Amino acid sequence: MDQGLNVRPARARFSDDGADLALLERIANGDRNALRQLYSTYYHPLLRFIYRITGRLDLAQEGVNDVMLVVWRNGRSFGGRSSVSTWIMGIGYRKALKLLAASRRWTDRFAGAPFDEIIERSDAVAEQSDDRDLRDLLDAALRHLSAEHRAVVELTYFYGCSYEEIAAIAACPVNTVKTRMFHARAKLKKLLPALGKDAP
Amino acid sequence: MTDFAPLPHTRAFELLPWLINGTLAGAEREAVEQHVRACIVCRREIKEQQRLHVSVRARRTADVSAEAGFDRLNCQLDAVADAARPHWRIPYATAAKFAVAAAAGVAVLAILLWFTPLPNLGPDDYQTLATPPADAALVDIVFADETTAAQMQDLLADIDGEIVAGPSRLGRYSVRVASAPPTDQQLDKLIHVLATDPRVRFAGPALTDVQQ
Repeated sequence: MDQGLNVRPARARFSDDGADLALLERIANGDRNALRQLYSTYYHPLLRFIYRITGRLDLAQEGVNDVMLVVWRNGRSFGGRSSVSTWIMGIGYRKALKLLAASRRWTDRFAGAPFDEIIERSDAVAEQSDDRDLRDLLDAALRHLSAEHRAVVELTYFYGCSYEEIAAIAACPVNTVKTRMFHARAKLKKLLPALGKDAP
Repeated sequence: MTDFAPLPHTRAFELLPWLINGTLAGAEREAVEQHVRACIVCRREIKEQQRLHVSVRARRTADVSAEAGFDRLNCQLDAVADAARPHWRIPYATAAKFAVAAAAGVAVLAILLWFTPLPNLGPDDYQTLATPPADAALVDIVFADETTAAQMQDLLADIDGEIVAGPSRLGRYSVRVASAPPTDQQLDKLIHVLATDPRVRFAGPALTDVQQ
């Protein structure tokens, strides 16, 4: 492998499966202290994940507690077919999609500046754009992806999940994961020309 | 040298995100890496995806306390547990408190009664169930030896009488003859009638207490 490519970043894992399993066993026996520990471990990963899918912090906070309530009730039935984190993130994924679908019935979720204006601004300041600009633009661009596509991008690049893990979380075939990521990349490339500015 | 088949460009291209996040493993990773070495399009895509990767990871996460969230969850769990608890336990617990209070009340009443002096009742202050009320007349009757029980009942029915005591060793019955208080004259007339009745050997006003 060409070391100059530098394509092996550390994965953004946030939990240890052995420790999670021990906590889950205690939770199955009604230990609320164990639930508190697991909650602390997963609170921010879940909050971020659900927030990235729903775009609303209040829904994300509600979603985290919904997920942990499921963990509390169903901890005993965890079958061990995946890691605990995959199981929990899978619950979070389904909760996020449900919350998003419910909220869309009532609100215009992404009301704000039209994206065309942001793109124009991006072109105008492309020469001076720095990483912060790119992050702001990325926020807006990601909102134009479907929830399923956003989830794949987030799980791949923030949580460092393999496509098999993402397939388990989203309960879909691995080829669906690859296809979703492919289309998400293509759309982001159109929305964010700044992504390719530094490419040789 | 490699021992895996070269990947088509499209397959290698779609796997680049997982090459970047480090989760591709084994022969699949080797195959993608081999393709990337020779493919300028994939090398350009890797640069772009690396920027995307860095940008996604650099996005701010909401700074919200987990403690407050857990407190809400804890309350939720308490509410669920309360709802699931069988309802009979709550009335039972309440009833137990009332039972203790009631027992204490009964004990206090018993102590008060124990130390309360009883009234000194004389014989005229009470009556037994067999004692005729003050407004009834009592007569003593001794039936003739040949009088049968049925004849005795007929006679008692005739005078609207009711045996309240007897017979004594001498065969005397005390009979209450009317619920309404008869006058002395009426009582004398009744006794005369009884005394002349062949079923009766003796009849007269009650001379003694009915208790035998």
